[in-house]
Amino acid sequence: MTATDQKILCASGIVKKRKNPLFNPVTFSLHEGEGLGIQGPNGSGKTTLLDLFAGILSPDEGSFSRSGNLGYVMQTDGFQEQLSCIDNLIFEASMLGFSGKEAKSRAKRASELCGVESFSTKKLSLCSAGMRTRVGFAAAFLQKPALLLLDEAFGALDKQTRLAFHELLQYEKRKGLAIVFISHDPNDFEGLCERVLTLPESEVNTR
Amino acid sequence: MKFFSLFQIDLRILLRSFPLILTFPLFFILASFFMLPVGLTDKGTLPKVSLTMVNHDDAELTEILVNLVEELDMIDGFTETDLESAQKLLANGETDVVIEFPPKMLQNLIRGNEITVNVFAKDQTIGAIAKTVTERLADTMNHVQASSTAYYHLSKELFSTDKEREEAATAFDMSIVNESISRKHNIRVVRAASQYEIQLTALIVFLAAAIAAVFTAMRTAKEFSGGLIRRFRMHKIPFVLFWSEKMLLTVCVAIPLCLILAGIAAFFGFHIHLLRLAASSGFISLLLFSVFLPFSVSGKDNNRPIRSMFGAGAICILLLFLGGGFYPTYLMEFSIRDINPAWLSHLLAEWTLSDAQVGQIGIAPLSLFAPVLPAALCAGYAFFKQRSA
Repeated sequence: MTATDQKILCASGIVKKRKNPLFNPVTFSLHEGEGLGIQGPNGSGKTTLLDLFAGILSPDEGSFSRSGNLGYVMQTDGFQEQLSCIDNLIFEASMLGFSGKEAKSRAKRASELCGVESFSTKKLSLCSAGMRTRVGFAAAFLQKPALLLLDEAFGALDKQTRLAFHELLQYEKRKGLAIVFISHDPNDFEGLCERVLTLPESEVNTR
Repeated sequence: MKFFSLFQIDLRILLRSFPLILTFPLFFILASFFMLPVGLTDKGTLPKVSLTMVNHDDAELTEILVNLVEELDMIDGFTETDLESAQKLLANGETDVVIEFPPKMLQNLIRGNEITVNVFAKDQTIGAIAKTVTERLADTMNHVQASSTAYYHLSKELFSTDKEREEAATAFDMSIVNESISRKHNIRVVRAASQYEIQLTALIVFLAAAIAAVFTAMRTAKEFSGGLIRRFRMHKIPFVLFWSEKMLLTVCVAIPLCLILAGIAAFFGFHIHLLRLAASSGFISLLLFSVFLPFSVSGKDNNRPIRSMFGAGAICILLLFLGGGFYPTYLMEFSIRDINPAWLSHLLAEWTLSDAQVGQIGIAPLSLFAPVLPAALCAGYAFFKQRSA
């Protein structure tokens, strides 16, 4: 499946300031099944940009629109350290508005999809960074996302798991998932992102 | 639904952390045990107050009562004037207490009617002392009543007719003839808890509430630094919901902790109104958490929990010293004290004790809590060091 006309994300001159603007105004649109890679030096505002798309922050200038469900694999995952992986997923599902049984069943399905079930009862604080990333992916797939934001999501994964997630994302992308992917490794964009935005530049470079 | 899920998770984490929370008051418990013998030997004294008397009763015997009040050992400075002037003196801080005798006080007293002696004090602490003065006064009045009863019985023998007895009684300003007088309980004086009782209960309330508030502030700080709040923002969970859930969590820590500490106080002979104590600790913990919340939500992520702990701890101790958790509160500047949660704890403690039958315990020395001061200074130093870094 190729990109359709259905716009998932549309940004128009958005700027976030901390005293000075973090990046030049960003303008682009993302359709179903499209992928956008973001790269840039540390502190260039990559995560801030993703937070803007996720609605965590609001832009100081410009506007953006988003449609469909959102999945966000954060760099700092924000899970409850004292809880097990599956409990974290159930909690996340309840925060999405799913009630008891539905939350449990979604958590179970997502953990199976992302390979969390083998350590699902393990306390999160005892999990490795790679395991936590998998929990992050599972949380993002609790409800079928139309847009997936990935903040250096492959950084902690071993080669095999990275490949598995790459395939999963490609499969979902073919089904219409739009992806915004931050990475320092350009190879991660291969097959997932048609365009790459390099910060601090405001232009969207098509590879 | 989301509120419930949030609270459920926090409660689970709280139950796992409760043993850790309980270690905080352990220091105070141990200190109390060690200092108890000193506390029991030090009986302490009430501070002296300047008193203004307003007497609306022109009976001769009442003047004697006024003179008697003047001679009480806790009175330092005595004025007799009208109510308006007395209230001006009180407002200007020129007198600590105003005691007002009602019209026909003595007459009502010896007839067995309940009388109301108004006591105006410049603050609660002085009010407690004023009540003690009134208690002494009530004792004296009881003596007067007893004498009048004796007179009544004696008059039966001295005067053969009712008419003669009536005249004689009136002559003594005691119109008690033909009345069956119950001589007991006709003066109602609200029991005042001693300074030490109020101070200790205030400390219990404040300590429990402060621990709860610090705990929640730190949890909140950790959630901010761990990215959980970003996740909440992403799910459009309103801050008010998050905040009220944390408030509830604070109360859930404060109340059991307060009751545990009250149990320890009960071991030393206190009988505290538990419901009121629970309500007080809940209220104070909410107030403190609101004060500590800014520490949890501002600044760089990696500094938040530690800053929250040190900052909140330092403020707690500061409030204790400035606010009335420590004796003697009556010397403190009103403007600082009246807006202070520790002083509010003090007022709530008085309320908590008002229905209780409290046994007399000596005043424990302040040294019981002295080790807190250096700890507070260290915490304050660490806080400002971190801030400047």
